[in-house]
Amino acid sequence: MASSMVCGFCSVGCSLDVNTKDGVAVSLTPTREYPVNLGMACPKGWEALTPLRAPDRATTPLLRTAKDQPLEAVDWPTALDAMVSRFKAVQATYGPEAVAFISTGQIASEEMALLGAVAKFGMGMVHGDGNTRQCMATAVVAYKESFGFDAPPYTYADLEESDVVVLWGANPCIAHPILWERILRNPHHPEIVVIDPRVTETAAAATQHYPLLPKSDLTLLYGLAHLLIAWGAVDKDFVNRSTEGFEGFAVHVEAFTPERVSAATGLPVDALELLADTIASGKRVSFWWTMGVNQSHEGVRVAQAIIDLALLTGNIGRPGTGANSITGQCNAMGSRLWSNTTNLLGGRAFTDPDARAEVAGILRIEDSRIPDRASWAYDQIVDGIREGTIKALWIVATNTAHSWIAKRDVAELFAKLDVLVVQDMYPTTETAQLADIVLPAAGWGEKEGTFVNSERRYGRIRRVVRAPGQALADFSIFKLVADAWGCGEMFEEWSSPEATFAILQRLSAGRPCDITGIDGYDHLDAAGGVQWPAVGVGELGRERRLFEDGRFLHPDGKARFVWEEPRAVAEPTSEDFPFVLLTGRGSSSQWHTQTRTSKSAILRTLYPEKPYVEISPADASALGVIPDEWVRVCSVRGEMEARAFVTPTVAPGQVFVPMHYAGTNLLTKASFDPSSRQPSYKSAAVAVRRLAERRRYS
Amino acid sequence: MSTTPLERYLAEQADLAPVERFSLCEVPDTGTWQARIPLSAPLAGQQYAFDVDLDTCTGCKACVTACHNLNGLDEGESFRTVGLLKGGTPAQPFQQTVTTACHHCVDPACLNGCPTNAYEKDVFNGIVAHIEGRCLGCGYCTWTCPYEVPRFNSARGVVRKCDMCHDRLAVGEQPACVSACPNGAITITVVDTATLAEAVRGHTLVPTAPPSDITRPTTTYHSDWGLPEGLTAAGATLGGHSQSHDPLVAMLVLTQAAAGALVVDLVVGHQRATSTTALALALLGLIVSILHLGRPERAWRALAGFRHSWLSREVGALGLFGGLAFVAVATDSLVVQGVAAAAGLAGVACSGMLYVVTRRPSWRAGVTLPRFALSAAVGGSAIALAAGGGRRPALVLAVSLAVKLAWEAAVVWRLDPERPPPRWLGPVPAHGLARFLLGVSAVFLALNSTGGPGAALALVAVLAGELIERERFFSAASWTGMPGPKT
Repeated sequence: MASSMVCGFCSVGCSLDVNTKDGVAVSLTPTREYPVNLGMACPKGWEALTPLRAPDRATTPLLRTAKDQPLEAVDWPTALDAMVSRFKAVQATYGPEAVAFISTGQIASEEMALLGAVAKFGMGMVHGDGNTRQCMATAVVAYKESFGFDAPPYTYADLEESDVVVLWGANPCIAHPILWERILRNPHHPEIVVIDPRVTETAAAATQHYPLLPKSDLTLLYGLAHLLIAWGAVDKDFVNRSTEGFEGFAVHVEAFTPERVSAATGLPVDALELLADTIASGKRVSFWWTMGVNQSHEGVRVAQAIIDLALLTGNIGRPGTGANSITGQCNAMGSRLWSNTTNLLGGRAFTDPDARAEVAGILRIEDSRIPDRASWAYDQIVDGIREGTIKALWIVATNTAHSWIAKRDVAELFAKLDVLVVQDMYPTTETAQLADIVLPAAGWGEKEGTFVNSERRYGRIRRVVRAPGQALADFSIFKLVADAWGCGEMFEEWSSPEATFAILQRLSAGRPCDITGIDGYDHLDAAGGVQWPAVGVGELGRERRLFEDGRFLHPDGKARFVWEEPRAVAEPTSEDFPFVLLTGRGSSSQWHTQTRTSKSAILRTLYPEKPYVEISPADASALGVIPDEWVRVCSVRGEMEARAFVTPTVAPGQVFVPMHYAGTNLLTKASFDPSSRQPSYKSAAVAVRRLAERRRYS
Repeated sequence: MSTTPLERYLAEQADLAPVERFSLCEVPDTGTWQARIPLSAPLAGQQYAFDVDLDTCTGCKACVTACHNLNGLDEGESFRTVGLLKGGTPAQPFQQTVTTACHHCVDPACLNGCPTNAYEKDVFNGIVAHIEGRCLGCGYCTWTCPYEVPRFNSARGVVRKCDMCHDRLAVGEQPACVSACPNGAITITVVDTATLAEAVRGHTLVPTAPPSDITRPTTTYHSDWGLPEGLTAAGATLGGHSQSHDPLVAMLVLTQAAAGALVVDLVVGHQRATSTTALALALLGLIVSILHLGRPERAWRALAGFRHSWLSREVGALGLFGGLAFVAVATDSLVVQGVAAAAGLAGVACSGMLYVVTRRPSWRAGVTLPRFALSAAVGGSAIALAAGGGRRPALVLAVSLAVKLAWEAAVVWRLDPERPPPRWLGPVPAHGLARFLLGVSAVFLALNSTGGPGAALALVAVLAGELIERERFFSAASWTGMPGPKT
């Protein structure tokens, strides 16, 4: 027996056939007949079942009776009572807003919708955000302003139909290997252009690579627009028919002369011209971006400048085109619509009374149950803890104590909380270790629901493995919390993931993300996943892109050109901290804070166990650093020890440290995009120092 | 019967309902699916081979996990690895991942070295397969293979390696790694063995790999873009540290000392105590050597490869030596002792050749054979001095040990420029200092005693020093292999 289900790591959304024997999953192989991955998977996908079997799975709720006591195993009623009574005590003392939650892109859409609804409509919380803030908030804001709705326009087939593929701040060879597969399936011998400060695996495999100076992206994009407009490479019909604001944009980019752009980006003028010419002469140019753009101090404007380029060259709404954000987590796209954090369910605004009334009507709850303002963002919630306005926090399936930017004081901050509840598969994560209450969660493969991948495709996850001990699906936990809180009746209709999916369908009706045309979970199976929008009955195309009619989602149907003057980074390098710290994925076998991937022995053989820092040969020799010696990487905030990996793929003046090591975020600088509040993980000033001699080679 | 929601959720959690339900989707045929394995089996003079397109290998390492999963391998085990080459210039930085498995060589060194004939090269398709049931877990193939392909599996006590998924190939399916590469970088081709063996002469598979002349590997690595000069491997090779070498260290030192003792005894004047002590130490060495085997109960198979394996020959010669030494002691016959001594020296030579044929630079003949010969002289005279006593063995010991120490200082403990020593210990590592202090003390004792406690102390110092020297022989050995990954 084999059951197909979408993988639970990244947003590519590959399907895996889980082979079962006597009802229990024994192995898996990538699904050959699924339109996303066509029989392939990355190492994480191949090993997706292994983390479920880890010996340190949470098998029972854990409770700390007092701050100085250890976590002790308790039964579910005790843990739920403690959680509810402590949350209520906080709310009674400090007001309902003093309890907040951190959701995640790692659980099913139905689960995150239930969490958001229970927390806000049932328990009266106002502030909740997700770890998706760390990976795609920028793309959300960019799309909303430019297109009128958070709507990544593409389908993966576009990778196969372009004649120019521009990968901006993206390293799919390592971060999304199956998307690279799709690029290699492109029969048109495309120009593959990589914009990245490092010679990444993808840059090495591309046909053109532009190693711009870190965070000079916005200037480069405006410089390209300057050249394209100057050369008359503008799709005037499309611009006139489908966009607003071109004239202002054209005036704005006039100042971005090749000389200025060259000075800012470190790229020679002829390289700029070659890049602009490549874009101008492409018939079907697609632009793809990932964290190099999103995790930036001005990421929203960079993403919008990419959109601007696509708009002005008319590269959108046609096969092989688009301004396309590749998202991070398996259900980051689901959280964009359904987490009920920044946006009200279905991509609505909390501040919009009509939207609140509509949602209240669909859910049959009182309007007043719905907060009339948006949540604080993740960093504002963290600040709220610092300032004492947030006193209780519920963290679901994320590892803040490892992943939060400039995390040095996270443990200290969490100690200030009256109560920290962590719901996770493992009680051993850095964050769960700080919790007062740990709720044991079932993982991917142990529960039902849907994920939405980067190309807006809903796919199923299934229960094919028994969760250990008392661990429960997040969905069941949210139901139990609602019951314990006394608001269970509000969620009676949310009786199962599939029943909840039907609610989500109703919430989507008439919106750009309409999925009323999906006929239950079985339809998702039979169709190989279904992309939104899915309206009406009948055959929906297997690969569909948005905006083919040239109409966007603003009320006037036009996309917007959006621009702003580039700004300096929060922390420029200095004499004491002369290197720009770049962070990112270390290998395709590692996932974020490694709570799951570190459980697989075979994956552990595929990346260095100890932290390392990539440094250029010139800098290494100037510092006297010998390959593989241990060095100290320091920022003004903290330091980590790492092995020096000397490689010319990193430019002088820059160093690269993978994000998966616990020390990395001791170095990063807490700065945020002002529009998206996404942390800028890829820019901090650091120094590299040699260790005392006896410690260099240990 | 009413149940609480909690009970219901827990029951649901245990209720698995997997279904046979595939999403049906036409896989667009770009030609890459079918082209990954040959349409027909190899003809005479041909064999299957891996073909790697370096240009499309981007280091996702799906091949490693697919090999692990589709072959049902043990935890952390895979027959494929992915290393990294880096280099280029500041203007043109370069990196290239290199996926590697068994090269199914034309002249497989694993097979040649195997004492139990656990390897077979298929005469029709050229696949080099390892038969686990015949393996005694000596790990010798992990040294003879220049590519570190066979890996010792300590849980099973045997070596395991890639068999090109020959079961799958036989029914027209792709090997695991081939089928799992998203980019189609790994394919199976049919190569003409004679042409290939000629073509690899003087080459390496990729930069930093060992010379292909040793085994004539059949894998082809190619790149349309070309690889720049001066690439280095990102990481070292495994270094063969999966098995403890301690039993071998003891076995070599003891058998060489014992063989030497029988010779020295005949030269300086026979003393029964000397041959008896030598016999005891020889038997101890032989018994200890069995501890090195992953599957000691199969030790009896070790002679099977006598025609091609120096390890089989070593086992044969040293076994004969032990038996003859026993007879010599039992009968106290000098003739038998002479024959036993000859067998012992033959065993010492086989021990030496066993390492020399691995073609590892640190085990070349000039470093290995004098070491073992001198070890026999030093250990043998120390036994003769301690057991039999007298001025002559003391002189032989003093002279041979002085020579050996001088030779070691020049050859063995010389710093390897490619391997920076732990600097905080100064230019000579601590175990080197210990070895020389022990050696010099033994020379001093030999010059000042003709028996008694001083001689016994000299024997202890000699054996301790030899053990340190021999441990270094393994731990400082140069290892070759395909480029390693970042470590």
